[in-house]
Amino acid sequence: MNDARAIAEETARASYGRLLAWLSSRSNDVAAAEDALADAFRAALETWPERGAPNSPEAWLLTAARRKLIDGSRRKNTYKDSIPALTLAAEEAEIAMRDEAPFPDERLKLLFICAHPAIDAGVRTPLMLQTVLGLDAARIASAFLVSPAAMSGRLVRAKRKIKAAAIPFEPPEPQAWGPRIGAVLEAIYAAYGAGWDEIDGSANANANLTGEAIFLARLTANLIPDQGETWGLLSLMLHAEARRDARRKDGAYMPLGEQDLALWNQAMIDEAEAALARAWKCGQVGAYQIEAAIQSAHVAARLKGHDTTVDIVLLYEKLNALAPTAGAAVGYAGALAAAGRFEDGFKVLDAMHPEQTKNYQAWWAVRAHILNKLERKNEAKIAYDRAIGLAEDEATRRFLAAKRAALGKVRS
Amino acid sequence: MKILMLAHETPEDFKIRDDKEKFDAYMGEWYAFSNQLAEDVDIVASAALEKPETATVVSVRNGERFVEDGPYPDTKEQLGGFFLIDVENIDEAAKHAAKCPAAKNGCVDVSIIANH
Repeated sequence: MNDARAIAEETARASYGRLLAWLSSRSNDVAAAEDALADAFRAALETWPERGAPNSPEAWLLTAARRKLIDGSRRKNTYKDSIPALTLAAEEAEIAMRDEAPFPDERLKLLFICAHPAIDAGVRTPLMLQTVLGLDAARIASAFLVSPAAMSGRLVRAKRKIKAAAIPFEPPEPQAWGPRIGAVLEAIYAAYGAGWDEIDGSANANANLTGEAIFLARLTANLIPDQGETWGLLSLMLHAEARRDARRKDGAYMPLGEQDLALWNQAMIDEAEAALARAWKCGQVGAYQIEAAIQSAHVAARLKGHDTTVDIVLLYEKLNALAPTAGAAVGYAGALAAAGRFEDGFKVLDAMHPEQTKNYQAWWAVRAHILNKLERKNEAKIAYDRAIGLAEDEATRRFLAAKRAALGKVRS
Repeated sequence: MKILMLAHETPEDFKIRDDKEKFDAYMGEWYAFSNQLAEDVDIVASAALEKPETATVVSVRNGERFVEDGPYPDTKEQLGGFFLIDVENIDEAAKHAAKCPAAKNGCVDVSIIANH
């Protein structure tokens, strides 16, 4: 009995997104497909323990879910048009069940739908987490720091729009590929960011979505393997994740140069390096690939003892030329400082717009570091004060406070 | 599905309607667009509107009727015309809306006609 339950749960985990993609691309209605799939899982939990799990759990679930969908369409009588498509889907499901062949993976369509330009950018990541991974609204809400009710409202609205606007379950036209993939990757990276914000805080570990983000990036890279940026994003996130445990020691922030290498996840680093190599082979340079290469250079410096400071400066130059952001500029300044070019680093920071920098913690922290090296201790102290004031987590505040204390006595 | 495309134009574009030199070129773009649209999709209805300053806003509050001059002054761009078209999905609608002359400086609002 427990076996049947375990198989149902295992199928849910492994196949939820594939089942939902398959069903919703045939009904053009994500919300209805979700309901039907939920009913099918419920039916599975009721009948499998008694009669035993079927040979092909996925096909069983599909058949059950499409029956619910057809019943729902008949009852409402408003979507007559979708019945032929659903009937066809039912036949396909039965063929799949007979042959025990895996049914086609259509999750890419789902990813493109979730990041469609007609969908509000703020809800794309939650929508992806829910439809592709089957996360519930409460879990997503806790990662995005909103109430479950608010998150669930946003998700319902987005799904209503998918249906009302008949957002097509087809890959975008060739000329729109670039931006559409960009939107998918951006949404995945946002899931990773939502996870990170929680690492330092005391919030529950449940809110951490980094594993989910990496799963989505790995999935996307495998679905569209000829796009360099998909591998680049995967590599970037794996590199950051591999060093997670080493970033804190007894609650204190550890900069990369001082981290305990035994705490780095070598398997993840290897996968990150392989993904980066794969990205370069695609022959289209992009921002994620360069950011991953920067991570790779940092890692090589520690693991192999290579001096990669000059490489990192060059990579940041490329990144700022390709995708200029505040983060890339501050990273460039930091890289210049690491290479001993403090004056150059200072100029980069100075050239940024005050609106971009006045509340940007990293800008003040790098500025403080550079001013200290330039022996401008008074200004360094002021910059450290700003950076400490803007830091959101305790470990970073303590790290910066120690740096400020090390300035020694400063005339004020 | 039926889609209502509302073409919102900038004050500068509306001024061109009074500019004898630029008027033909301006209207030429609109004719080219609407002729092509008629080739591509089923146009249920379409029309250009008079300039926004000729519009009147009517509202009823607490049973009292207010009739006021001018368009609803919420945005800089004002409604200059509309197309009611029949298309397959939002992507197709957006493709046509992007070719609308109003999209260049103003914007085109793409709304779905309710089916109840």
